[in-house]
Amino acid sequence: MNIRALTSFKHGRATFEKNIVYNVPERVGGYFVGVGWAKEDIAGADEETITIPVEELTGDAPRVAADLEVQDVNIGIGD
Amino acid sequence: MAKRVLAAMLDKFLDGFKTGGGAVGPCTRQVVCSAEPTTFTEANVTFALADVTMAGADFTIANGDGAGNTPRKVTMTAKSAVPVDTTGTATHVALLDVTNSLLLEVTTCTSQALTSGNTVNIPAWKIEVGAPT
Repeated sequence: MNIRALTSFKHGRATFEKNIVYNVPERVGGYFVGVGWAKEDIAGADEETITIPVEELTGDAPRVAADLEVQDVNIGIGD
Repeated sequence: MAKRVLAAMLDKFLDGFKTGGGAVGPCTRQVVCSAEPTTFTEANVTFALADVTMAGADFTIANGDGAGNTPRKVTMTAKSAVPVDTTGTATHVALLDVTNSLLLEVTTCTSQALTSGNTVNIPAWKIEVGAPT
């Protein structure tokens, strides 16, 4: 469904800017309309619509920590 | 015949990382790099994957682990959950003096794939000046 953001907000990893039309899954769009962040945009067919991938509407992916193995430095004094 | 050097002399060198002096040091940034940097800019920008601020308390100077007379070492404290800014494979770690734009030290690390948005744990590591031989 197409929605027009009534305010700027973030959801998951997606950012919605006020007064821009987005195409989102109905379940998510219905939620945004329900909480008052957006309204369904039926008349805005002529406007450019930004499609938000479903995966961006999920929560932030958990950060994965990688462990480095750092080699020590040895400096010798000779002669 | 045995050779000897005053421990305080070695500490002068090692203290360059901790407190600096004469427009060299201290180290204020540790950078994980995707290739061997040979300049400050390469370490700080070109090959930089992740970086963390370093302060004097992150450097501990003590007796070295090697045998012989007066080996000394400086150990860098471990840094955990350092944000990865750029995706790449870590191969080197560099110590920088940001104030003076100096590449102070470079070492290697086991190749490790890093992904932007994730974090990296940098273990404690050391620079040791061995006893004279």
